[in-house]
Amino acid sequence: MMVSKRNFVSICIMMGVILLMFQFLLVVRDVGNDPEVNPYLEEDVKKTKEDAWSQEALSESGGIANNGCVVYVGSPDSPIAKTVKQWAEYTKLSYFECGSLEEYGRGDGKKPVLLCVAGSEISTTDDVEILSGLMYDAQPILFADLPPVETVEKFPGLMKILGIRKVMAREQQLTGVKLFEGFLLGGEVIYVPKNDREQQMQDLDLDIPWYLTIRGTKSYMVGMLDDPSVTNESLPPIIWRSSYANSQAFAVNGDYMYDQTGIGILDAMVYELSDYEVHPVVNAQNLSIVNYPSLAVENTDLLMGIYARTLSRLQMDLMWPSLIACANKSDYKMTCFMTPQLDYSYTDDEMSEDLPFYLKQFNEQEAEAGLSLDSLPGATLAEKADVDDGYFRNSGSAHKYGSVYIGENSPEEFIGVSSKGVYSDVRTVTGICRENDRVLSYCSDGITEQCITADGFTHTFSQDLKIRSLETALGYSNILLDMSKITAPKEGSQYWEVLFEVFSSNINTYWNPFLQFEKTTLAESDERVREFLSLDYGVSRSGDRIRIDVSGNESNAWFVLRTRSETVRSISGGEYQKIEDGAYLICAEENTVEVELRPSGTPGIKLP
Amino acid sequence: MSMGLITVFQTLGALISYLFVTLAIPCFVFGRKFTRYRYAKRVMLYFIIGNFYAANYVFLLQLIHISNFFTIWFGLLAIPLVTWGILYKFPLKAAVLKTKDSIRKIAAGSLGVKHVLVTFFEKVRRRFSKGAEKAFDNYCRNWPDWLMIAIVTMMVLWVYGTRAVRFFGYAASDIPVHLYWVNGLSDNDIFVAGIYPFGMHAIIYLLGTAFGIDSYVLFRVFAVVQCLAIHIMPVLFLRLCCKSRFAAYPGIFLYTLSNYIGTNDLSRYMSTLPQEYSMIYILPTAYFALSFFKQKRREKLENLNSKDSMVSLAGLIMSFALSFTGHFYGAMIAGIFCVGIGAAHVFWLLRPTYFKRIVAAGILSILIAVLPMVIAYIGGKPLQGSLYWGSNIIKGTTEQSSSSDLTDNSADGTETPPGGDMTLEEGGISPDGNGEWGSGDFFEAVPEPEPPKISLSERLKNLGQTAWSTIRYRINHYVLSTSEDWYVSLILGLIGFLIAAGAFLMLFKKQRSYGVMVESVGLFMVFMSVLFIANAIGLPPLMGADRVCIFYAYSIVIVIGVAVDVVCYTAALILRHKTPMQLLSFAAAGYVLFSIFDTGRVRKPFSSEGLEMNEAVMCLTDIISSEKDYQWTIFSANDETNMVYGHGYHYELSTFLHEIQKLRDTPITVPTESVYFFIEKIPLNYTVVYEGSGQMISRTGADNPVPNEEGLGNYQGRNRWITMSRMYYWAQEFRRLYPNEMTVFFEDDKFVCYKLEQNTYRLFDLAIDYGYNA
Repeated sequence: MMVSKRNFVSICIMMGVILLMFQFLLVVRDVGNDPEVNPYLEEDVKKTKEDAWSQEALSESGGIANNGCVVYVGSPDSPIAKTVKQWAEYTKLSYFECGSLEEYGRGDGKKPVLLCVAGSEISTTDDVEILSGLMYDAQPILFADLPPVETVEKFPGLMKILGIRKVMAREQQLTGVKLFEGFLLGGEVIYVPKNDREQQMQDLDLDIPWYLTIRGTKSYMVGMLDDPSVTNESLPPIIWRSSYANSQAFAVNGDYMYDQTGIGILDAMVYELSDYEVHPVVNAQNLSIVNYPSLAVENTDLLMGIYARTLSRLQMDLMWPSLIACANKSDYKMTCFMTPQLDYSYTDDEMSEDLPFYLKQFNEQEAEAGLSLDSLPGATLAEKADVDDGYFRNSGSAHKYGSVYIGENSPEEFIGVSSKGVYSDVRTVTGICRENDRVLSYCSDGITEQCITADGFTHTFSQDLKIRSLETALGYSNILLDMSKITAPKEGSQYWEVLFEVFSSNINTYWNPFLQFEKTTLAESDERVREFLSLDYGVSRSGDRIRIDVSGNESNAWFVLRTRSETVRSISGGEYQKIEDGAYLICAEENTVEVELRPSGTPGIKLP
Repeated sequence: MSMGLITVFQTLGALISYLFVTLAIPCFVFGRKFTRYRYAKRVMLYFIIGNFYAANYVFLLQLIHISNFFTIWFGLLAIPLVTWGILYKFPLKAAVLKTKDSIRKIAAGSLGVKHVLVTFFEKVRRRFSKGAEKAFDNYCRNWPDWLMIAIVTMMVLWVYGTRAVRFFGYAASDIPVHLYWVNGLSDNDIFVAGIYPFGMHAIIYLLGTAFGIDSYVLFRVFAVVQCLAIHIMPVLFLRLCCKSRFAAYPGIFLYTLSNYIGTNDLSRYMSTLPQEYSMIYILPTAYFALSFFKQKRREKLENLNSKDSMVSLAGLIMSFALSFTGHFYGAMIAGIFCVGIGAAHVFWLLRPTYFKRIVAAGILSILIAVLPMVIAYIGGKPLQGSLYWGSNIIKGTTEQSSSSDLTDNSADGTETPPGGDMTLEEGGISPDGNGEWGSGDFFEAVPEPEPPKISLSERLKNLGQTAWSTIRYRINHYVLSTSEDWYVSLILGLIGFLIAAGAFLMLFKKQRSYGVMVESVGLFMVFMSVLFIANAIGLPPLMGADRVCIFYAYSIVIVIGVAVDVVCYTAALILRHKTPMQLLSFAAAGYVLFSIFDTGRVRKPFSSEGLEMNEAVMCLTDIISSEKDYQWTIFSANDETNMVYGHGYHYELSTFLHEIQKLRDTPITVPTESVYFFIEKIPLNYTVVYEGSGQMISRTGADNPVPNEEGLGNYQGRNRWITMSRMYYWAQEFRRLYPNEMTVFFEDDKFVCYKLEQNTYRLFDLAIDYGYNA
């Protein structure tokens, strides 16, 4: 059958219209996608270091926070002191230090929310008596670490305070560690390796003294033993609480307070002291993909042998689709820290012309472009900054980069180059956290530092505990994916398909309990960190209503509310989301937020 | 939602489910077979068949240990459906072929699914609307009856139902034991504590399993349903036996709404107890016995087939078996009524046609009732404690006291009337006013002097005087709540009137059936009176006077009803018109209702507090509805022990306090996520009052040693105060140690419930030093 001319024309028009309709969407998206614009970078910085909350500023200006203070008793250089100080800053508590218990006893009688004592420094009967007296005065005490077993045995008074009935073993080899539900966010977890892979994840301190606690104590973390005759209640306690006199004492049997893991533990302990607890959080979950993409054509021979692709094609054809799929599945927003070159020992590498492509792709996939200043062999940070600056200026791109990855370099090194070219717009730096570094802080007046909290390619038990702790205390995580090892693999375990599987399963497993926290890019997270650091707040409770007064912020502020046997009935001045049983993420949209609670599970039966 | 409103819904749920089983299902199966009978008789038949089937079906399932939700529903749906199909010769083959054809057509596309569904639903709708029309017609024709029944229902709900929504605890101390027995049925362990009449337990179990209502809830609310049935039965009985339409109501109004009847005769209606359950079947037994004689006589005279008399005989067998499986006392009263009927029908009864059938029916009904018990006995189950007691009574080896009809020891599962002992002993009143009670049941412990030798006539005279004074006294003090003696005379006069009127009417051939019914009621009351004073006249006391009075008071409803009817019917006979009879009976009902209000003798609703605090029941209800099953434990006194069945665990306070007396290395842990502690700040009087009743728990109380008595002893009187005081201070100390984990779940002036939340992998040791350990 012949098609009439009229029908033929109609069919052609229809096909044309359909083609236009489909193309139109793509055209609109392409037109609206300007690779020169960084959508996550605000024009003006709202908060700077000057606006940050500090104890000194509080006493000068008289802020609303009256959240009390925390006192640390022990050596000021101790890593515990740094942990406690950091936590105090984040929870807006005044921080004081005392060299010894005797010194604290002579003090002005300030009653802290928590008295943190370096237990390892307790050595005299006087110390024990002072501690005993403090507990009779209803002072909650945290023994951030414990004295040697001999010292514990030597002072029966100390054993009573710590709730220790007897020493079962001076050193006990554990098979693992169990963290109970309800202490840190994320629920119960047992760190006992079940297979070879998990054996590699085991990096916790498994040799601890085994104490048997008295009646009336509560354990939050215990060691696991192979011996089936040991009951759950007799397992070696690691973190526990005892009741003595008119107060409660927390004890940490190990080095968990020596690094950032201690921040969340401190928050959890404060929660354990009352029937509810509110503390501010950042509410930002970041995924930092470092050294991706690398814009030079490097390692071609090796990569051609493994992937049959050049570096450029490997990144574009294999890695990028996988990363998009993984980010979409886990809902993460990527911050990709680009580097023009991986190995600066070669100066004649051919440069690819993929930069505009990636900048467009990042915008499309809600990712952010950052700069990597991770100094790989052949260049210092300053040298690399110089070379990279030249490359980006020559590329003709006017894209503004808001975040920089500095690897293991110190932020101060970056501050030295931060005024140069493409680095002048940088607002935040991220890098590997050195021991006792602050997780979130200002490294200069206008630049914040957001530490990496976990490595996406490797996951260990201590790292997992740290993640839970930081999520509890800050609602913050920053996962690192360093792609340099993939683009220059030294062994089969560093091939993309292997590492991608590891990374993909890690990211979709260990952060699942914290899905309620928002996924952000580094620049978005930077805004929240600035608000968090400058935030001032006060909490009060009347009946079943909790009131949170917020100041010092210009946009939303987030808090974690933890309750017992109560659920949130309603909220005014903000919104809430349930993180887990007894834990809520509160978004304060106004300066005053009121949360109404009700007993959990009660269907509301009333007496007639 | 308030607990009261929840109770209303729970009661409605229990009522609807009970009516579904006992009326709707039998109506569906036998509806068309019984259309020729009067409405009241149909209702009675359905009710008896429903209960008989339900109870015996449960017995069957229990004895073969396959009782569960599915088998119960199989019995409620499949068996009735099959029976219906057989009874009405349902063309099953044709129906299957038709369905198959329809499915084939639907599959082929020649018949639309929509069409099939519309046709089906249209059929259902038409059937329902037809049924509704019939019901409406019935209502229009019989609206005065419906109105009267509605009034009776409202009275029952007012007098007994209001208590259920005000006080949630059980009103009798033995209910936890019955609850334990019903819980045993849930485990397919019938007669868990020994062999006992399980009729009521079977029904409660069936309703609970089929409709998902907790047994503890049914025990709280089924009393109202049961009470309604007890009060509706006299109405049905009198409606069927009497000539006038409204003769039933004067008696039932007086019984329910007025306060002429003693409180102790009615107070047991507040509880779901087997004796009261068996009361439901006394009047149906009597009615079917009367009906049998009447129908058989008619069939003989009119040479009809014996279909109707056989239905009545079947009704008699089922009713008596039900009263027997409910409680022996109910069966005893039903038996006495049957003896009265037999005595009145003696001339018929002696004829072999009647005699054989009646004897066979009696044997069969007892066999049916005892068969499950016999099978269990053969299977090795011992008799329950109270049955040993009952058999000893019959053998004469145990004396009966007024307070121990079925004894009050819940440990062996026996009963105590909630009203407590009758006032005879307390008041020291006796028939002759000098404190003597002859050889009565109350002073058996006192050795009596040898009676002087007297002549037979003198002895008979003395016996007659004792009988007369005792019956007058007991009616006055046990049955009635008025001190006016003429009410006693009125009752005795009415009994005499019935005997005389019955005998007189029997002289007339046309009125013989009616006369013999009247005579039966009269003679029944004579035998009841003899039972009432049995101990006083030297007969074995089969039942304590404080129990007989309950049945005696219930029987007065029938006496009044029949007496009113005799008067009204006589008037109709004289005037040769029925209208005056109906008007007179209506006037009598109206007058009684009016005079109750006019004289101000309206009964106040029962309001006795339960043996469990409202707060405790409320907390329990809350816990069951909000917690996951088997993830919680309640520490409390005894009542919750069996109430938590199927949901959680229970730990007795007394056991716990004894366990923590000495602190040992072994911890005391409870492996559930939540642990609740029910502590009474003002301990209630659990059937025992002591000098300090109503006092608050205190350190003085806690200073006393932990009570160490048998059974309920630790929770009665002063011991309850000590137990609660110790528990309170334990809770205070535990809260000090675990301030956030141990929280107040509910608290008011009288009661506090603490909730302990724990991780089941890290249990708290409850054995702490609370300052009162040994």
